[in-house]
Amino acid sequence: MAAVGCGSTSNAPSVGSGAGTPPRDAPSPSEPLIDVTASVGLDFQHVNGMSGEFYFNEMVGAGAALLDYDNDGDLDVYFVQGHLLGPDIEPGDASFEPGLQGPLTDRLFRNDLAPGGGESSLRFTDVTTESGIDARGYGMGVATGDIDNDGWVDLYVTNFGSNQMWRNNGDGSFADVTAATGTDDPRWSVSAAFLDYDRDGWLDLFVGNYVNYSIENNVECFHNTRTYCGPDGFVPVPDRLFRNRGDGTFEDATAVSQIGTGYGPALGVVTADFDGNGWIDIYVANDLAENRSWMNQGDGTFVNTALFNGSALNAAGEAEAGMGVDAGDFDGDGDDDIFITHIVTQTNTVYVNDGAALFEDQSVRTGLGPPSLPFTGFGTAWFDYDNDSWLDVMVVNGAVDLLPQLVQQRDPYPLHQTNQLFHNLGNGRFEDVSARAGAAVEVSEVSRGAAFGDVDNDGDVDVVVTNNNGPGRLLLNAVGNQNHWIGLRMVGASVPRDMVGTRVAVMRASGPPLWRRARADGSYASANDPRVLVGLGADPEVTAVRAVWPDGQVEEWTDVAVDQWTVLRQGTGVAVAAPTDGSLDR
Amino acid sequence: MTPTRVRPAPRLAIAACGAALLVGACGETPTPTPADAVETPAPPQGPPPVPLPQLRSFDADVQQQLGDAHASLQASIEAGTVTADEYGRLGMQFAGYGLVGEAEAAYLNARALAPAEFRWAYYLGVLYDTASRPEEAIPALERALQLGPDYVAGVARLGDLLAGQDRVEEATQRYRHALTLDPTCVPCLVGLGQMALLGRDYATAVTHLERALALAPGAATTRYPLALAYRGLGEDDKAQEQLDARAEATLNIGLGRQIDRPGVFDPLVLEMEATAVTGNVAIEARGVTAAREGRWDQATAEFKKLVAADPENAVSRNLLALALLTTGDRQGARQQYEETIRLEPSHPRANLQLGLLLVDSGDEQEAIARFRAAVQGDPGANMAYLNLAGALLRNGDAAEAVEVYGALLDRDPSNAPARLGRAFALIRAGRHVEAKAKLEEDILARPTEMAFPHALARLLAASPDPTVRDGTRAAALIRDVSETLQNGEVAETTAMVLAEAGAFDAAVRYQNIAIRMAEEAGMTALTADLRRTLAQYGAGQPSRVPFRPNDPVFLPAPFRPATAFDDVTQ
Repeated sequence: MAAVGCGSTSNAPSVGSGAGTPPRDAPSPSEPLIDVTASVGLDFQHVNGMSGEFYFNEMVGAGAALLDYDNDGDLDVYFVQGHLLGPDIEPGDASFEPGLQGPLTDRLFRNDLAPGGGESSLRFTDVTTESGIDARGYGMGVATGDIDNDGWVDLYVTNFGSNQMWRNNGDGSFADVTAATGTDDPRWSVSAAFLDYDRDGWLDLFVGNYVNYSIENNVECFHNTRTYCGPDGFVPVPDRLFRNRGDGTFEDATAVSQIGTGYGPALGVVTADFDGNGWIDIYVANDLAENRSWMNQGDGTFVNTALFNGSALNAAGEAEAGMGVDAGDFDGDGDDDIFITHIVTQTNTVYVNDGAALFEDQSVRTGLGPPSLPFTGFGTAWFDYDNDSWLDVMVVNGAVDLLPQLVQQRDPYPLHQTNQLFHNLGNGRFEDVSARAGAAVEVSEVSRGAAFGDVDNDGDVDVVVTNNNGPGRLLLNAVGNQNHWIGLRMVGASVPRDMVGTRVAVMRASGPPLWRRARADGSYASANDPRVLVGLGADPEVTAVRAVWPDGQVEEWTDVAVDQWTVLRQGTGVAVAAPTDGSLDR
Repeated sequence: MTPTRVRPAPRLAIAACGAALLVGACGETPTPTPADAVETPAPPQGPPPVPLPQLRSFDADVQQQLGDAHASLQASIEAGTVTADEYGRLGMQFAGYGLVGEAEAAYLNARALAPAEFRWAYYLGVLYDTASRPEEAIPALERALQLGPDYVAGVARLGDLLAGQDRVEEATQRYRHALTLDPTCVPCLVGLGQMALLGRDYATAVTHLERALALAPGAATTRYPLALAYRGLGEDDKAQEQLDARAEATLNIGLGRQIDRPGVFDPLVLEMEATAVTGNVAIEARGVTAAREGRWDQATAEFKKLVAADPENAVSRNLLALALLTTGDRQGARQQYEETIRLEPSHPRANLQLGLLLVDSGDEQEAIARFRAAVQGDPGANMAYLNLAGALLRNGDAAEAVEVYGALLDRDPSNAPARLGRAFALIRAGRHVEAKAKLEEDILARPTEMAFPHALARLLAASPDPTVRDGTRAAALIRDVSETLQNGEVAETTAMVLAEAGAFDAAVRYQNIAIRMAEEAGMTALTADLRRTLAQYGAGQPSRVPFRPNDPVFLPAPFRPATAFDDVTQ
């Protein structure tokens, strides 16, 4: 693969290239995602440990991560596992007895991708034992980031209970450095995110915490009949911000950063520079409480502006049951908009950014709100599934309250719902294409996490979906690379890690820049591909690629090839003066 | 996730079957009960049959109620005498218990048998609406409103549904029509405001939302779109005022996260809810709904039934206490809060509310104990900290009050009442140097809040510690304060500053203003103290008491009962 302007070459095989092919039409929206789980060796079954006690945490997990832990250029998969719950519970007590061999632990699957792309090139191997990862907590979520700048991605696993930081040793194994790094949080954590909030070159860590529930303080909850409790029966617990000292340890910066001054039951976390001031902000989706929009003040502190900026509550002034969240420029105006998934009877919500981090709830107008009313959404992302240059949306669903209709049908697990796929029409509106998206989207399960990334390196975004008390699934994208695309891995100048938080603009003659960002966070309890994949539609002409690095530097490359993955290393492009008037965005 | 009612619980009985989350999940075919899966023949017109659902997940009395009603309907069908009313009333019961499919079938039959009757058509639309099926709810309600075009709640509901489908013009028409029928229809005004907001017609949005707020000031959710409308007009201060008022409303209702939303009186829906008369869960649901809609008398009645049915349930007791408090029965509320705490000693909400009631009745020592329990029960509850510290301060334990405020500020450094309280506590503890330093920090941290420079002006003017006093700065501070704040306390502070500067004649004038204002407010004890200080000024002596023990800043806030339904599950 040509490594344009950066002096290095991506390990990713140059597959799926569309170079030389004639301009393409919009791909057929039918069957855009194909479930290939069974044929690629990705054999994972989540166990929530339910035994009829309606323990609250049974219903909340768990997520998954897409990460290249062995630096071989393809995405591996990490699944977070649950556990049996309650005193003296044996496997036979569980409502659904775990049909697994060995202990219940998180699982790491290595991607042994062969050239060619697509289902036939994929093969996963369970390398959990070799990796040394022994994650036996009651798992919730996972975040990925290179905490020691050694070029090997590390893992942070959130649990119902103490969390774990797993350092990648670079030889296929991981070491538990939770205590050494000082990053444990014994409270109930769900989503977490790595970000360099102080721009010192080291990834810091935000941990979203939920409520003070424990098995011991379990209570009965009712919604006509016995069901799972919601967060309002319990006191929320504060989120945590850990600052990376750069010496292998973190300090708890929750108080000094003022992140601890306000909190709710946090379930979703995403980071982005919402106001374009060059400092990455943190957005927290809370469950039935005001969301928090922590705007980075550039001095180590944050201020929550969510109420005034319009992203705390829906348009009616009501707090919603925030679950998954993502930030992306769906309307092509150069700033990141927010999408949050919610519970049945509430719409999923779109907060449209005006560029200065003032938001409007446009859930109804975009068409993303109303179709979500019958669903409880969790994992989600803005992602351009058909590479037409407009960010689409996928939502994975699964109820938290027993669904009466399924109860009446004597369904053994009456929480399952189908997932949803929405196509961006490019005019500010979305079309619900779920009904014709095929079996992979229409399957009815109790979905929770979703991790997005190009698993087979063929130039389109695939999805790993996790299901509560169900299988993990890999949905391969079957249509995206029918359009042109550009794939970018943004790495640091002196450290070879993914520079999450980098904003990338793909400049085109045919239209305004396409703004994306390198990120692993967002969705629900999951970690995404940190690379940037930008759909170009039928027009392969890219005049330049600009990067706004986390330290504020701006660079440009004019000769990046399309329809392949390229590594862009900081310092190898042409420096561009950072505009102060926002013109870069337009 | 869904807000749900919680109650302390024994282990679930159905857990005994091992894999026993749900009916039918025990690996065997459930034994049919008489109430299970009995299908009723359809009437001849062809609407769907009305099955009796399996009911084993419901309380026994609910099973009995629905089983009897269904059997009665079946008998009428077999006798050939079945009426729309019978179908409809069974539908109401099903709907009341959340059995959507069964209710739908019953309503369809009722509508088929009585096509000109508004209520069955309307109930069908309501059912679809509450089941988040707007595509079916809209035509059903449109059809119903052809029969009853003047039913305001129905028109408003249809307006909301249309708005939710981005059918702005149609929604606007419905809201306007509803307002011609009832000019006080608050949800209609809010709806119009939101439609205007969506169209970025901020001025119109402000007009509608301000009117809605004037009609229903307790509906604090209205303040959020109103704030966004002001923000759109560039009137950020007014936007912030609305957000602050919304936050204040949140505090007023205690620990709750739920803020009241504007409702519309819908007698048909109330009647439907009332048909589900059996079962504690149903009673509670009706009470909670009534409370959320501000019908506190009805809520009280429902919660009394709940307590009578289960006297050892702390959640029920707490619900009743809140309802009694809101309807003005403080003694009854106090008794219920005491019962709640007996059943659940660490109940943060009950401890806080009982503490407030105790303060109001003058029993500060017991109140302190309640506030301590509230803090322990919910370490995140700012109101509990503030009330504990305030009570300690009033009872002469300024040192511990400083610690409590500090604990709150460790967790929430921007909490303005805690910052101010800490300064007062330090002053009361005689730690004037520290108080001065903290107030200087507070002024920097919260430059728009006049309470901090006001307090510092007093301290600098009247501290007995000469190293703290700074008359020049005190004068500058009170000058700034008086530009935005003029009341008796500011007049008193101005008198202190003038006396410190040796301008005793002017100090006497301002002290007299303070006395007059105190008299007008009926603050007799304060007036006597102010007169003593007046005599000092007349004798050419400055004040050396920045804040007297009975200064209004140390008095508890007037007790305010809840104005909106709280998060009663706390």
